[in-house]
Amino acid sequence: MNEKILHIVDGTRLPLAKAGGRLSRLSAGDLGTAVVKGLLARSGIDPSIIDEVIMGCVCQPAEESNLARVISLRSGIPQSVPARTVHRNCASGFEAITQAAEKMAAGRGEIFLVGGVESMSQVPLLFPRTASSKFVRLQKARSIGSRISSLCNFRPRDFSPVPALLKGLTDPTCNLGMGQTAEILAREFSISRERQDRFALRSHEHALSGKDRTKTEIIPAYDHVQRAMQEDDGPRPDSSLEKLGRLRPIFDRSRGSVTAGNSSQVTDGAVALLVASEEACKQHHLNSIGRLIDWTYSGCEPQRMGLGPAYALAKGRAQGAPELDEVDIIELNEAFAAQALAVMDACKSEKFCHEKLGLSKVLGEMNEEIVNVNGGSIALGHPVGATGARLALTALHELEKRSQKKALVTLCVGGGQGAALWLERN
Amino acid sequence: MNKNQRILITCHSDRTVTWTLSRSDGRANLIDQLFIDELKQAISDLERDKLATGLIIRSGHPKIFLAGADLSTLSNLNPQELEKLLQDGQDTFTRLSRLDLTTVCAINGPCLGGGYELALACDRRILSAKPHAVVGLPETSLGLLPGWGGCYRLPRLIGLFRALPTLAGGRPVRPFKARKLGMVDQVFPEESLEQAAREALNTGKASPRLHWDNLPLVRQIIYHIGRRSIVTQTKGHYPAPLASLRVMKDALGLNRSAAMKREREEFLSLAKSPESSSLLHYFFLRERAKKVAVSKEGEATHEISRVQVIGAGKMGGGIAQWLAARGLPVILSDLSTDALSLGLSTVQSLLGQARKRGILTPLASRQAMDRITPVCEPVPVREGDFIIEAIVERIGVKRTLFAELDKRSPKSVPFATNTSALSIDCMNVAMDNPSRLGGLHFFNPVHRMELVEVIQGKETDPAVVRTLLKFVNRIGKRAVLCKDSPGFLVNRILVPYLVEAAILWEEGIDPKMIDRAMTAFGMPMGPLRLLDEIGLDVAGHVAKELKFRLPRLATPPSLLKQMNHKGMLGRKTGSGFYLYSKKKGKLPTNSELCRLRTNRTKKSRIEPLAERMNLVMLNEAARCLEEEVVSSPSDVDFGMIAGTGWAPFRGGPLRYADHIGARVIVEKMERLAADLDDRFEPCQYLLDLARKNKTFYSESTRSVPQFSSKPKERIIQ
Repeated sequence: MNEKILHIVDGTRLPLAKAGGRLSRLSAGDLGTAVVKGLLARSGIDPSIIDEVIMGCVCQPAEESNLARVISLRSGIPQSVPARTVHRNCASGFEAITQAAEKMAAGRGEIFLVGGVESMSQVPLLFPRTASSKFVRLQKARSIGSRISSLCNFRPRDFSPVPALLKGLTDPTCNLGMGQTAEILAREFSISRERQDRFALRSHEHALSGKDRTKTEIIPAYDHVQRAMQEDDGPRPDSSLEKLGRLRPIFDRSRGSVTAGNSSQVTDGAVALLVASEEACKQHHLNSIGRLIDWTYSGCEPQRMGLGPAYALAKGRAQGAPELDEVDIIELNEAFAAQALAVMDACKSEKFCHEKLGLSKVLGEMNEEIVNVNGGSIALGHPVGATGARLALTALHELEKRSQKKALVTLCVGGGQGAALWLERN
Repeated sequence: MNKNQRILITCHSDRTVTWTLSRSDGRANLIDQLFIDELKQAISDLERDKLATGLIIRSGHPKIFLAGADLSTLSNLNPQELEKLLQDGQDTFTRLSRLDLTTVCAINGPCLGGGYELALACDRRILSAKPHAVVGLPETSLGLLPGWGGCYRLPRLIGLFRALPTLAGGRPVRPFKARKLGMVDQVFPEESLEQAAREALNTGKASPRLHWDNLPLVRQIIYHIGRRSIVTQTKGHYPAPLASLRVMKDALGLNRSAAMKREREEFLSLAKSPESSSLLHYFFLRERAKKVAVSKEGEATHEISRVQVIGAGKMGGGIAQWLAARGLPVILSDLSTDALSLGLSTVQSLLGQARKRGILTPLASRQAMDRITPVCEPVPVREGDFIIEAIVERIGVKRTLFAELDKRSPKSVPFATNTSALSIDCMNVAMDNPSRLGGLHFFNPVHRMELVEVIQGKETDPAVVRTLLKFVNRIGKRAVLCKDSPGFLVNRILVPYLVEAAILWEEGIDPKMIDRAMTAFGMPMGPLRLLDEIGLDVAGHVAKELKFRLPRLATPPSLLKQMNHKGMLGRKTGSGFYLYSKKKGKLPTNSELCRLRTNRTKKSRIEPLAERMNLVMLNEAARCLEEEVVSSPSDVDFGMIAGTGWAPFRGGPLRYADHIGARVIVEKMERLAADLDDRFEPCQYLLDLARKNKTFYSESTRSVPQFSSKPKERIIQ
């Protein structure tokens, strides 16, 4: 445990919007700027006291390189404040928070603006590599003859682009899509299609009943024609087991069980948190809504990246983080229903804990009563770079409403990693 | 060593010469008598110097190249002196253009009027790319024309077709546009201006260019088309653009000396016209308004780093857009996201318009949008904030808002209300610190109206007033300081005028006739059209409030109430006095509404109509002085022109009144009062003036625009 504790002073987010939907015309920079401006306005701080802006983003836009800097300047934060964009796949939002904590612990700053942004709507289409070398040749061609000859080199297949999102969600080290890794877990942990669908339905139900509870963490977003969007548009009031059951598996069409209905949604979103050291809170009269008491990142098999949280928790136990039965609420990211259920099963499986995690005592049961009480990414959506920060924000708000103390926030990370944060309300 | 005070001469070893325009007192470069004398001397030196090969004219002032003629001297000359000055300048510039060596102007900042005429007399013009480096001949906006060879040289340089809008419109042109038009030869970053000028020296003397549009037949056609478009645009009130077009066309067919003579003659006849002296008067009024805030320097004001605009309606949105486009961070707050949506779309469409018209680049417009943070719940007020309230015009709501803001804002934060009719002294009653509240009355549409009334309540702290005045200046608007009184200045004068128009209409006069009476007088828009634009609901509210506080005012016709009930609120509902449709073209009058009148439609000549409406206005303007709503006639005139577009070529209502004479006004009013109604009774101030046979401007000594103060402010822009 660190001696210097990072406090979360305030946080807010935009409503999560389905990709290709209401906020699809806003770039990642637009989304981030909106949320950071909103946070600065409501916190009332003078932005020049910020030591650094750290933003997580997975699909970093080509036209907004170092997205955090773009957002920082566009939001009116003085140019003297530096900014960096961080990437740890789905844990990028975590990474922003923990980098602030590490920097603070190292004595390199007291106040940080952190968060995560993702516009999954605006992820570009990619031309095949063969095509791009032909384009380069065309650009270099000077004479009319050489231009015509380089034009003649193009073939129809050169003009069929691949969505970068699809590439991004495929792990190049094992050549598996994220959905395929979930299929592996569903098979190995024998998680039935019905159990997955039931879990997905639960996510929607909790998200809908928690709508009023999550309202406090949201500020309205204004789209490209300034229409206001006030709430997450992912949760479906008309969802039912029957409807979910009718969907066809998408990652393994013949024998699979992972469908669009029991996977997280592709979403645009942005989250910002203001975090500070205890001294800075005192000096600038900032209220703390909670503090970061511990965190871990750990690696696992890329093919079974969904089990990442279990590995992170095992590492957490080793460094003295709170046990599963010591926390009051749990935010377990729902990348896929099969994946989340597999994590829950793994934590209480003696075999798994012993063989894979090398533990003598199981991690314990994740009490369903306290897991994702306001729904998870299946209902709300999973704007990959922003989700980590979103989970932390939601957990802190829920602790506040329940007047309880400790929260565990954990998620699996593509490429075979797990991440966990432990938060405590004062 | 030369002892020149305007032009420093440097001779280089490569046999080139540089003239650096720089005043020994460090002020902005202007053309005055001394400048011309030194210029003549410098030219004579070069005429004698057979060795020199090139001349570069540059500015020693960091921002300004040559901002034109010194208007303060110009306005004090009699016709003979003026003619001599014109001839002197023309001859000097001609000698400059006939020098054997190559002449290059390296223009680093505004180069306007006489300054640009000097540049025209050179062989090459190189311009800095900085946006403030504008060139042009804005003389027509002062009711004059370029009198130092500009009318002769510009069409020869760029052709009549392009010269016409540049000269007749009188607007300064920005660098890249200027290059496109051919007004300058090249545009360079400021840092490489000097280098570029040296290179341009090698290009030799300029040779005459051929322009198809300068051919005899073509220029006749352009002249006729141009004339027609100018007449429609100016409605025949402004003689200068027409005269400049005429001179340009004629000059193309004349030799130099005849053309110059033609230019002088037209200049002199324009200078004698009342339009020119009124426009010059208005120019000085604007300069004076600019100084209102500056003159009180040295005293403490609040440094504003962010503005919270409360209320995202039409005014709130307009204000937010204006501030954000000028670099100020803005918090735009309202109660609901729907209201904010509307406010933000107002901002977005205004920025879109500015982009389309080339005022803002796409980047600048996005940056402006980024500066605005919409919030729909109260956010903390911090030091360095400034609060502008633009919510619904109800005293109770405003009182509560200010009381609440007062409790939670740091003591140093000033507040301003954008009310158009409510009293500040009534609005601050629930505040613990009422002295921090003043008024900042913007006019609609905010981006078009230059005027902002700064309102000083009884309790308003003078430091807050100073802050407000300085703020108005900073955002590029002009302030008039008014006492907290019903309708302040502009609405106080405007409302009785609009009510009078409505009464005339109720009496059965054709609405088009009423409007034509005032547009013929020189208003940009007739009163009934204006009522439609403002909206009958808004206008009705202001009129009611004003009538409540000043009971002697005329009662608005009851038919207006019916219009309100029927939803005929003006343009926004599609029908008012006129019917509005998406189609452009003529506006039909609202015949359904006209049938509601009990009086039969009457025809009338327009002169008596205009007179009735004008007299009501003049009377109210005089009352503003009587009650010391503002401190001087200059304030009244400036406020009315800048706030309502009141005929600028008549110099404002009080200057117009002085032109007619108080005695005549009083006579006319008394006759009307006897024939029609008490509302035409002249006020005491007018009666006194008539009795003493004085004018508004002579009576109020402190108010005469000071024509002979610092030359810094005498720039043609």
